[in-house]
Amino acid sequence: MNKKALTVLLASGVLALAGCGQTSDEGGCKGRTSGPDVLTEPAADGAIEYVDASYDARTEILGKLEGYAVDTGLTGLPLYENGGYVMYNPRVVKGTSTYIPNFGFSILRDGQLNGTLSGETDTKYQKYLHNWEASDPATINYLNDQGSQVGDLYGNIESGYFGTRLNSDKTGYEWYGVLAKNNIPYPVEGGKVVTKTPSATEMHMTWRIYLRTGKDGGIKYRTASTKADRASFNNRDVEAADYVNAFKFLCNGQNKFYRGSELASQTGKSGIAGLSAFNSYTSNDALVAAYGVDGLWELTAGKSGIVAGSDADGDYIDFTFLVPNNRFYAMYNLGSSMYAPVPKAFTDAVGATAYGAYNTNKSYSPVDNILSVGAYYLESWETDKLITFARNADWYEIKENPNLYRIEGIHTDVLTAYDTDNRAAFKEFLAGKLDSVGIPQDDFAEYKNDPRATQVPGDATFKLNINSCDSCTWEQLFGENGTVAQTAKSDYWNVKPWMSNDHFLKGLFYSIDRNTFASKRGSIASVNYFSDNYLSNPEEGISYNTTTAHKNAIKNFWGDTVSTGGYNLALSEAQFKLAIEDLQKSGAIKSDTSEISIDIWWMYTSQIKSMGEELASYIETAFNNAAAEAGIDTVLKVNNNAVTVWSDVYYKHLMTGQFDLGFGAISGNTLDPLNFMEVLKSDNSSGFTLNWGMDTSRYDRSANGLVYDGKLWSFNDLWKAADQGIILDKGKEVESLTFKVDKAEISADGKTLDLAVTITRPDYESLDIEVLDLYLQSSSEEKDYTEIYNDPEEPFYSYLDDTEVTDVKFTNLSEYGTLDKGSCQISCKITGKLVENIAKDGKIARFGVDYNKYISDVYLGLVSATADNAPVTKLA
Amino acid sequence: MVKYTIQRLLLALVTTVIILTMTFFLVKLLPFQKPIGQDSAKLAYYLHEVGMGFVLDFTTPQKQYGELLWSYNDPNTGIMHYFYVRPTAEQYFAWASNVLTKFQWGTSTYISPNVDAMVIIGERLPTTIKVNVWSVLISVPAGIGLGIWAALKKNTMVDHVISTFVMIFISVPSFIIITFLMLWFCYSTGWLPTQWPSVTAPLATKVQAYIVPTMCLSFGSICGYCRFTRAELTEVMSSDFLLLARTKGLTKAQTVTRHALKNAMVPILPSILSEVIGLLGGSMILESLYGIPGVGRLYITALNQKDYNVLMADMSLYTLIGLISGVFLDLSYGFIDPRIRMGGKK
Repeated sequence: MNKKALTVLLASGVLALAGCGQTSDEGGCKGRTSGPDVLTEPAADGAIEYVDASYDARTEILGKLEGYAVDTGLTGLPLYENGGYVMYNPRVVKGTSTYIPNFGFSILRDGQLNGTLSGETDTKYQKYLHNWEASDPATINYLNDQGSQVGDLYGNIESGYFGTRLNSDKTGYEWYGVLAKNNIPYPVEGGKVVTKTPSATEMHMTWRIYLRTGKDGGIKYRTASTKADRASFNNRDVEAADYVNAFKFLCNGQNKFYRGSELASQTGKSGIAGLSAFNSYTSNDALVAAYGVDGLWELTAGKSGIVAGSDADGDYIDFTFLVPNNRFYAMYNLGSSMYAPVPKAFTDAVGATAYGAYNTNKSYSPVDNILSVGAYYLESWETDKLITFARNADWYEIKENPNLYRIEGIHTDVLTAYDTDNRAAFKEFLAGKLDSVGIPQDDFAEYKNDPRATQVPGDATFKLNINSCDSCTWEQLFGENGTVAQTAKSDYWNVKPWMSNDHFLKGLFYSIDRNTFASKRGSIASVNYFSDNYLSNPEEGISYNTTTAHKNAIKNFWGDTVSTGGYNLALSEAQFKLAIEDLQKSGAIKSDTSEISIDIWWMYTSQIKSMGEELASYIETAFNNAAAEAGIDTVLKVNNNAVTVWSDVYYKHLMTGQFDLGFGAISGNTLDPLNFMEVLKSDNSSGFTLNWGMDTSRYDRSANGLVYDGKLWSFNDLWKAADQGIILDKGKEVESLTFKVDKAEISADGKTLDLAVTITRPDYESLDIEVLDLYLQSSSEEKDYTEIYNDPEEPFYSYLDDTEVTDVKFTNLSEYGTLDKGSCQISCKITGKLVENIAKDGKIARFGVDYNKYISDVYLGLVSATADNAPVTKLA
Repeated sequence: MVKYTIQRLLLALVTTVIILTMTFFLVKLLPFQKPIGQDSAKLAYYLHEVGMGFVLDFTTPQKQYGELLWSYNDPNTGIMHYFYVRPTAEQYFAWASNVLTKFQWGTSTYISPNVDAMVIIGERLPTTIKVNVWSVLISVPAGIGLGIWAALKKNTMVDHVISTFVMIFISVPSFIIITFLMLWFCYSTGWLPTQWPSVTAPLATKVQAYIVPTMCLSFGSICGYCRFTRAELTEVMSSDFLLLARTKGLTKAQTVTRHALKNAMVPILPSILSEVIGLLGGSMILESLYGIPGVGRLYITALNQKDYNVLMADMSLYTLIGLISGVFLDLSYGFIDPRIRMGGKK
């Protein structure tokens, strides 16, 4: 999920149709239901993974998940794609005249500026590409930022291992090595490269990337800083250790970088072995004091996930993922510019707090506190006014091909006026001060046919998100002890009973004339969850929306309305009429109810006028017609509300259940849409769930239920099976190994620790467990980490020289160390300082078993079963 | 006089403390903004709040701290966290202690993370002053001059024209004037910069950039001074002592410059002083629309984003300036008109 980002543009809210039907197992809430039970397929059971499935199979799974989400309203109420008309100054010569989805016009890399900008009075910037931002983020440190603005700025100056470029005939794009020497990573088994031409379907855990390092690599750091201690890094060669340091710096728990925590918590294809432990260990001051950050790195990711080396082909890093990846996803998951190299001396000098930002007294600016590894570098930063980037003429791609990156710099105006005037940027463009700008709605009619205007498809579908919780579900999720957010009683949302009525929600969906609504704004109406940018087969560039799986997914819900942009007034009125009957029966609408209401939340006050009023009119018209037909006087009132700061629509409403409908969307991970579906899970495991009301952990046996591979699934479990594999016992997820401490006794003299533990696996044939070691460690600042092996030749390893481990016994393991069935008991006796440290703690601070997990012969990584903080008893 | 001045300054300090205390408590009465997202991100947020002194972190549940914000068992450390809002009084004393003993106002959490709050204000203040000082330099002579002219030409066409324009410009909200000026002089004719230029812009552009904000800030002041001066001067001109002066042989010009203006200036000069002090405050709308990186928007942004340290530093600065300037205003009456004695005994 590291590529998700909150869209800064107008996002749409989604009305989540609750798949009504089942009774929640949790908390006694009835919750929303999807209808009577009709499906008879057996619930998914056993150890199952679709991680290594083909693109076609994964597309089918994605279609099943999307279909369920659409049928149950989890995808929100789609409105239109966020694309629109963009005007370019005639001096901008694009790299390609045709907009390429997921890539654009390649203006910076392949384009150029033909002429000067009339409104630019500073000759220095005449040949810079002029764009704009609405505010000054005061930092370019994307490692610690959640939004997309800083990421865009950061992307100007940093590169990833791999990037994209125009193909030779300029009709599409292709991947190539940027910081990597080769255009693809190589699969590695047993420390050796398996092949340098892996097929598209080969799945491997470990992938090797050869790095551009040293003088031969041709990459040097750039900085415009004039401070001596920073300028000394200018033109310094990039070394292999710098690549590793980037991960250490990013994921160091003490730095508390948001993106570092996010990367460390990845569980699927984009997760890298050992980073979670590294992030975790470095969050512990005592461990850092004992082992140092580098020591903890060697214990964790440096040992198993990110291992640097060198051979005849040069310096390399072997990246081991948590689950197998094919060549494309190995490359894609390592493509982020967040992983750009940075020297340890620099990160030590700047520190985490000031990295890419100002220091406390502003004597150092972002220009001084970041190094660039890319075609441009940060040149200047003027608070609330201007950020500029200059071309790095020493960049190796420019040296190899002078026709690349010909634009001399990037000139980013900070237009604070946009806060109060949404035409501010457009007026600047017309005054000749910007090179491109989106056409505002008010100017669309006048400028849509202007020769400078180009229609650009969007990368996200704007939606109205839906809170379809009933009171009980809302209490569970957002109440005083909510699982997602905790709300004081005085701030409880007024949960409307109609918002959890399936027919009412369907009435909302069908009531909006999207084609008319979108065409007025120069956009394209959409009933799709994804934009066309999302590719189900990224290697062949197949957009998911063009697949049969997608068409089938939306057919059930949208039916013939697909051709009318999801609009059918008669159908909407019919659904509202059914809703009214339900609500009358339940007492939510009484004979004297004159009005019911719903609240929509918007990012900007201006959106109320530009969109809210028209949408309200559609919805009110449909409902009130239905009410009149039903012979009641009740009318629906749609209240439009706006937040003060745009992002509050997410943080104070959509993510905290304080809304009925809310405008907003997230986008990201366009090349792995199946992984992106995590944002629809009702447990908010991604942290980005925006639609609420349906419990996605349910096994839904209604007609909407999710059936795949002949089995009934919950949304959560099918997603996890496809993302990282899952073990299910009659529909409930179970651990692949459980860890139980049978004995942890310290002898009366305090010198010997007598241990016995039992590890137990579920009995599924497709599951293989290979036990590696038992490990333990105290909370002491002294390095005392110890591993115990099922190997008479080398029964243990410990950081402390005085540690002795005797009587080691692993029962019930095969000769290959696998636990084929049942349980394994591990016992041993330990002496030495480690025992003293544990005795002081009265517990074993870190205690667990490392093992390799396989499902259906697919290696799913090194996993730990733990019993941290297990108490020890001291014998009298 | 000295004793009076000291008394007033001390009173201003006491008032400042009261205002800041009230502001602190009122701001802290706003609901605590709970984080959302993944647990690791939530934990990072809470630990940061702990570091800022806004939240308390315990390993066991506490009853005396009210609502539990969040509880979490950190799998990384095995430590259980129970987070509570730190009592506002404790927060206040910690903040006040840092300010009084170390003159540390804290660092920004949103506007410019990690940067000292006073540095943020200090960086923006010069720009605001530079823009506003031109307005004062132009509006004072222009306003007073027009007021004198209108008073001397009372009930003539000149007076009517001036009064009409004064009424129009004093009635039109400033954001309308700004928008109009920008549309006409910047976007339509292209004569002036459309936005406040960067520090690296050519000198000519930087000079031109003062015109729109100066005009915008001056119109209202010119009208105010003009109306005030006209009213005061008209009243003085009809006084008996001026008639006496004329009968003693002084020319009209002599009576106006030597007697009328001096008396009319008694209420006008303090308002000029007030205007000079006011230039430190900036204009939120002007700075926003014209992209001036000044202090005008700082307070609102800090309040909206709950950037408490910047908010309190901003509030402290302006409260202190406002109150001390009040003292100077009072004292200035004595210098302008010797008949007025501040703090003098009867």
